[in-house]
Amino acid sequence: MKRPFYINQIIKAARFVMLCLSALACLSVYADEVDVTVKSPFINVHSGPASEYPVFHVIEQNERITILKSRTAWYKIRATRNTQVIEGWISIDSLQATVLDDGAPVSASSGSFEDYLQRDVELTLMGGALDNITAMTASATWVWTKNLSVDASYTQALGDFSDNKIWSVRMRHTFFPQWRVSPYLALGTGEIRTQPRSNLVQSGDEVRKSNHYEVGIGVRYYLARSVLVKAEYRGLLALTDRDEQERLDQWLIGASVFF
Amino acid sequence: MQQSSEVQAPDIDPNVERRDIDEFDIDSENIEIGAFVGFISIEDFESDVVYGARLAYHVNEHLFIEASYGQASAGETSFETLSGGAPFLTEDERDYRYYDISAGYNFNGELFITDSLVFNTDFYLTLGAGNTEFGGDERFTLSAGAGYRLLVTDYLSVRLDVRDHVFKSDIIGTEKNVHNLSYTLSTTFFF
Repeated sequence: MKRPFYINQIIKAARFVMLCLSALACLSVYADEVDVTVKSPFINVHSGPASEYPVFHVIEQNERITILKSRTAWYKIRATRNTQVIEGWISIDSLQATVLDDGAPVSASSGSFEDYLQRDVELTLMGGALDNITAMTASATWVWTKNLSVDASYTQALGDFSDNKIWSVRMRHTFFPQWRVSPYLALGTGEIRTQPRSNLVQSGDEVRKSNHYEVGIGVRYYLARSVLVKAEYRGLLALTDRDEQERLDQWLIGASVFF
Repeated sequence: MQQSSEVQAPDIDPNVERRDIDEFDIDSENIEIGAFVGFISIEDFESDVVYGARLAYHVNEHLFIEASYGQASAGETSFETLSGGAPFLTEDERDYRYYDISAGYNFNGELFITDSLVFNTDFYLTLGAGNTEFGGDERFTLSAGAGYRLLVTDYLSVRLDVRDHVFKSDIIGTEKNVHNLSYTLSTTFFF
């Protein structure tokens, strides 16, 4: 049984890359440029979108600049002085020291705690243990009101004896949304799929599905720009086909980003 | 003419309404998407071409979160090759697929090729967890690595990644931690 030659694999890979690139080419980049006037005494222009990049130019007060695009909390700008065109990056703090043509100050979302309170969507990744099996959880959250949000959560716990995959939809209540540290409570329901390891079962795949209810208690902390940290306990009650129901405990710690 | 009789307007009008620039009007390029190709050495099962895709979100200037998917096809163990006996795995079971979600930390830098030809770069470290499907099983997989991102333009980058994918495997008998190292070259776009 000679394995196929690398060439085949490379052609396959090249095709895949081409497909990805052509898909990207279709995504036309729509961008608006905004002209602003600097109101602080000066603004530093960096050569890249991070504070470590050197300052290579300084924009003076009352100079007009054009904002081209943003990367994280950095904004690419274009400035023209004596027919010389300069492009570089300014921080969001500098941007906030500029005004629009009608004199209104510029404010942009910077992932601050105030922006957090205005968020619509959260994405969370957590790791931990589900009944002593290493488990990882990914969830997407739609923020409904200040207190209430809806999570769609997917957990995978691959143990020595079985693979467990759990998805659930839950309602989460954050008790003190205006606090940086706040406890929360979640209630949800979903499905657990359990598949024994292939070396234990020779007769093919035997996936066991059961519905479950879950309750979650956790704490979230606003850590830094756009980042939250969460720690959570989940109690799961699986409604099995057998006589007794099964209880599972899950401990999680992880981080969220918000938009 | 009428205005001249009025009191001169103050230089700073405190009643100006604060107006937000609509975030969607300015093109924010925080998402990085791309494809990669390279080699992966699958412990005990030779090495093979690996290819896949990456999707990253840049949280701030240092931190990014990235999902990767890759696939390869495992070869034969030296035992299978030398003995000519029954193979350990079927053809299907030799398909090696993995995905992981990693957090990455950028060390921003610049690459000076000549005095005027300068590229922004990132050296980054990644740590993540995910799933590997190989030998008929799915295994929880830790992945750790380092990479180098060269930004050809603001939105186009070329990346080199080295990652170690570690999971417990008992395919060739005793259970052990296997280390599968991959070296990949990616092209990614920020949008």
